[in-house]
Formats: sequence, structure tokens, C-alpha cells
Amino acid sequence: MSFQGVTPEVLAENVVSWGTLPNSACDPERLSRDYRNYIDQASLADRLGFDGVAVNEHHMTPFGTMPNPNVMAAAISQRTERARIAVLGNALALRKTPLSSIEEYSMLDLLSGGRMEAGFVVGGGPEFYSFGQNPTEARDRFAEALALARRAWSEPGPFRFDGRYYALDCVNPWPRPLQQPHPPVWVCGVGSPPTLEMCAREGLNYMGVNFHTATDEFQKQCEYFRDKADQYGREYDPNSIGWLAAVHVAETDEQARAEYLEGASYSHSLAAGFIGNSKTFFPPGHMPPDKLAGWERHARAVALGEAERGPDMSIVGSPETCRRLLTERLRAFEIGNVVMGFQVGNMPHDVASRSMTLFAQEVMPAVRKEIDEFLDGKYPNRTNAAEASVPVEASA
Amino acid sequence: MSGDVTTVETALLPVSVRRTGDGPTVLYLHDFMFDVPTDEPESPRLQEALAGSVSLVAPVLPGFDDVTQLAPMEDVEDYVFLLLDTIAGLGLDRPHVVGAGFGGWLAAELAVRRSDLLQSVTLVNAFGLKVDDHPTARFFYAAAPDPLGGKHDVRHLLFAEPEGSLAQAVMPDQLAEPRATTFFRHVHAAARIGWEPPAFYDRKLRSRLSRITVPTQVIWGRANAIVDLAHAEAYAAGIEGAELTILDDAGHLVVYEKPKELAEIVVATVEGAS
Repeated sequence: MSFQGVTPEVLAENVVSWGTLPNSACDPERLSRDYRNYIDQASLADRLGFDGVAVNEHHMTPFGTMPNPNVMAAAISQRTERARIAVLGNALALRKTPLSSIEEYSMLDLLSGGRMEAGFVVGGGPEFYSFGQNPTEARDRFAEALALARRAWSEPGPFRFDGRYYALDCVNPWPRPLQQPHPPVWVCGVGSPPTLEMCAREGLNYMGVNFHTATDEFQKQCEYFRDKADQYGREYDPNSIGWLAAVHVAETDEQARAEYLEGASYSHSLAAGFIGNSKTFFPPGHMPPDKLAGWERHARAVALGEAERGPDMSIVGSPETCRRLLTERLRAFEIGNVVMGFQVGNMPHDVASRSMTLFAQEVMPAVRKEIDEFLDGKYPNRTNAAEASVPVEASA
Repeated sequence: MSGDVTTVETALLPVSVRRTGDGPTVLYLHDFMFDVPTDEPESPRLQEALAGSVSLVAPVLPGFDDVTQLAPMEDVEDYVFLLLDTIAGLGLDRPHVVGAGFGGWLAAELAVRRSDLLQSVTLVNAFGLKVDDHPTARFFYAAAPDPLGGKHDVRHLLFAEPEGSLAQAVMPDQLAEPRATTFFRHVHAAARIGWEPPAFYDRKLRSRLSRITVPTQVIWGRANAIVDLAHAEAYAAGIEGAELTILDDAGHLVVYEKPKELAEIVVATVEGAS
């Protein structure tokens, strides 16, 4: 969920919004209203029958306004009854210890009556500038933090943990979560092969959270995940992987497109760095050197119109169009979860709410039915976790 | 630069070392940007300029050839022990040490601990110090992938004439492979101990400089835009008897910009101290 009040004047003066856009542009009164609207949307999703709601984590940017998504999840837990609550955040490398995440997630699980889905992330590039942590050790540190977090939830305390980054005499987190042994764990990523492989190897759920990945790219990531699961002798479970997409539904394709583009244009101006201006996205070591060089070449070619960006991931149109697009993609990906961003950029609250309502009434039932049949036929042993349709209060 | 390439086993990882020339032994510690000794035609000319007068021993510092080597390299101590193992492994007898930029930082770290193993120290645009009100420039930000801006920002930090033919030849906006990947590999390797803002320093190094007890030269590019003259003065003030030479029309990558002048100073230092 973005802060919606960055003015065109401020945007014109500042090409970089991640980490460096002056926080004088943050109007607290406006953001307080935005927060109320976002929580109202979560409550609406709960009433409309979405399987869950999701929140994410960003720092020092108007693009995402939840530096601690657990705080927002706590608020949502008190305004929802049955929807599961997925936190697609908790950047472990930025925390002094992963046990603080475990403590907060356990509290949230108790507060929500056992509705938590616990996400963990390495942390995005800009965060390593904002927090000073060394990005060259980020993946190692994350792997160790995740191992500690999972042990803390699955092994009775107190026990010692003697790691390279975390050394503790006494690991013994209180409280314990309501879901035993622990809430479902999700690792969120943007498609880097080591992360996909780790999830496939360890049997962890993977959530692809990059709005800006083309659909054909994401399809390759899904295939890679399945191949790796196979390689490590694990039966592929389509409910162990999810996809993040911007969605907007209106009565007609034209209306949906127009409403979407208005919000998306604001969002893209905040996310300009994905294309070229925000250098904070790629600190050294966050990706391998050859990948950085390849990304730089590709992004340049795209910016100069010399290469295709790839098909857009967004699902925008009439109910019929959205049914078709969403079904096609979930079938192609062979996955059982989609997290959808209905609040696109600075889209008005009532427009986003109307889109969610239309989706729940006219898109969700048909997509659920078709994808359930498709996946049940192909993967009869899949788990019965959340099947589809989690709205996320993030922008596309 | 040609010469013999050997591999030295150290406690942490094998180190590739190039040896060229005859004369007093100079251990050369490279900087962080395209100046790792190689056979490539773009390699800096310093090694050639020195090869006639000294026996140059140039290790490739960890990660600069292969970032997976960085795993055991956690802090400055690891680099110092790796250099001590390298000196011992090659059987070097009190070498002169010359370090540029990132390698200059390591040369200073080595010298504050084991001056007794060295004959002289030459620090060229050396990082390593934290100087109040003179933070190093935001190198990692400047060197990040920039699809449209190319290498403009980093060129302006490293060269006295960033749009001149030399800077453009070494670091054009669009690097071809393999140098495009080499660029990010070098940045990655330098970040391993250099990342902590404001970058490239050891909080304790300045208070230890008086432990350097061998003849020391401090050489700086007047136009250095990444680690400025205040750092040169701090090094010169902290090391007893250190001589400071400031080169005009030079920035940070003096090994490219003024190889002959630099070589002359190094040779004079070696001859004076031998």
C-alpha cells in the first residue's frame, strides 16, 4: 500500500523514490486516512469471501508504507473474522535477531485465532542502503536466520543456537503460536534461482512478489521450482507457490483500463527505479555480478525500445476478461495461490472497493472452480491450503 | 602484464600471484576497479613501468577473480592473515609494500601489525581511515547498475578527467563482456569489507598508524573525488616520517592516470629504503 499523497511537483523534482525521496513529502494526516482505507479494504475482503489478506514490507519509500507489516497485520486481525492474514515481509537480515519475528508472528497468530501465514524475506536492495547491512552476506545471513526461526518454532526450548551470525545461549520464545507446530512459512522472492531452489529443497512455500516480472518469466520460475522439487525428491504441491498480480475489474474493459492506468501511472512514478533511475535496487552482492550486468543490459534495451519487456502481469478488464486472463495464467503456472493488489497506486478507495466486490461476485467463483478442477486432476495429492484470491494492500 | 602466475595456499583460500621483473621485491596490492593484474590490454601500465626496476609480486585479492571466494573473508583481520600467509608462502624477505586504494587500506592494516616484516610502505590514494567531515563518496551507489546513465557517476568519482579519453577507454558507459561482469565482480569484492557506510574504513586504523615504523610514502591524486586529500593528510600526520606527494591532474585511479610518475616514486622509495 502506497502513500497516496506525493504531489506531481515533488515527483518532478525527485526521480528516485526509494530511500531518498525527502520524507517532508509524507503528509501524516493523509497517510492516516490511507491506513484507515486499507484496513477497511481488508475487512471488506474478509466479508466478500477472499481466502485471505496480505501485507508487505518496504522502508523509506512512499511506494509501500508498512516498514513493520506486523503492526498492520495486528490491526487487520481485529477487523477480520475468517480471512487468513499473510505477511509477505519480515526482512530477517535487517533485524537484530529472527527471534523477534517469531515472537511477533506468534502473538499475531494468537490475536488472529490462528489465521497467520508467516512470510520471510531477504530484504530488497534499497533496504541495505537504508539500514547499512552488508548485502554481500545477505543470503547467508537470511538462510541462517530462517533456520533459527524454523527451529525456534519446531523444537522445544530452551536450546542453544551456535551460528555464524546468531549465537544464543537460550532460544526459548514465548508465546507459542496457536497453529502447531507453527503457521505456514512462506519465503518471498523475486525469482532468484538460489531462493527458488532453497524453497524446493527444504519444502518451503514460495511467494513470487515482483509485480514487474513478465508473465513468461514467472512461468519459467514456476517450471524451475517444479524441476527442483523433483530433483530433491519432493512431490510438487501447487499450493506451495504463489503469484502476485495487480488486478482491476470494472463493468467494461475500457472502464477498467482507464481506472487502472490512472492508479498505475502514480505507482509507476514511485517505482521508477525498476526501470532505470533508482540505483539503490542493486547493491553489490545482492545478486551475482553476471546477473547485474545482464539486468543492466536488458533494462537499457527495454528503456530504449530495443527489447520487449514481456507480457504485462496485470489482470485488468471486465469480469469476463479477468476470468479468462486469471484462469489462463494460473493454468499455465500450475499454481494454487494468487495474491492480488486491488489498491493500485493512488486509486480512490471506492474504486478499489468496487473492483474487489465485482471480483468476488463475478470472477472468483468461476476461477476457483476451474483451477481447483485443473489442479485436482493434475496433482491429486495437493494440500488444501488457501486456494486462490488473496488481496494485498500493495500497489502495482 | 605478463609474468609468472603461481598459486599460494593460505589458511583461508588459494591466492593467485603474478611475478614480474627483477630487483628488490615489491608486494603490490591492487585497488578495486579494473586494476587487478591481468594479461588484458586494458590492464594498467603501472606494473610495466615498474617491471624494469623491481621484482613485482602482485596477488589477486579475494573475490576479485571469483566472488564465491569471499565466504571466509569476514573482516580486516582475515585479509591481514591472508597477506601474512602469502608473504610467508612465497618466502618474501621483508618486501616493500605498495597499495593502491582498497589495496592501500590493506597495506596500512598489514603495516600497523607487522612493520617488522616490511621494508617500506607506499600508500596510494589509500582508503581505510575515517576522517571527520570527510566521508568517502558514495561509491557503491555510484557504481550500481544504471541502464541509462551508464558509468558516468563512477567515472566522475575515479578520474580527474572523467570525460577524457583515458577514462572513456577504461570505463565507457556501456562495457562489453567480460568487462561488464568484471566491473560488478570488483564492486562486490570491494563491498565485502568496504560496504559499511560511509564505506572503506576501519574505525581503529587511524589510532594505530604510529605503529608503522618503516619509511612510508603517501601519494595522492589532487583531484581524488572519492577519498579526498584530508585522508592523505591524516595518513601523513599519523605515520612518523611519512612523506606526502600530491600528484596534479590525477584522481583516484592514479595507476591508470599517472603510471610513470607513480613508478618513479615507488622506485625512489625502494632504492632509498633498501
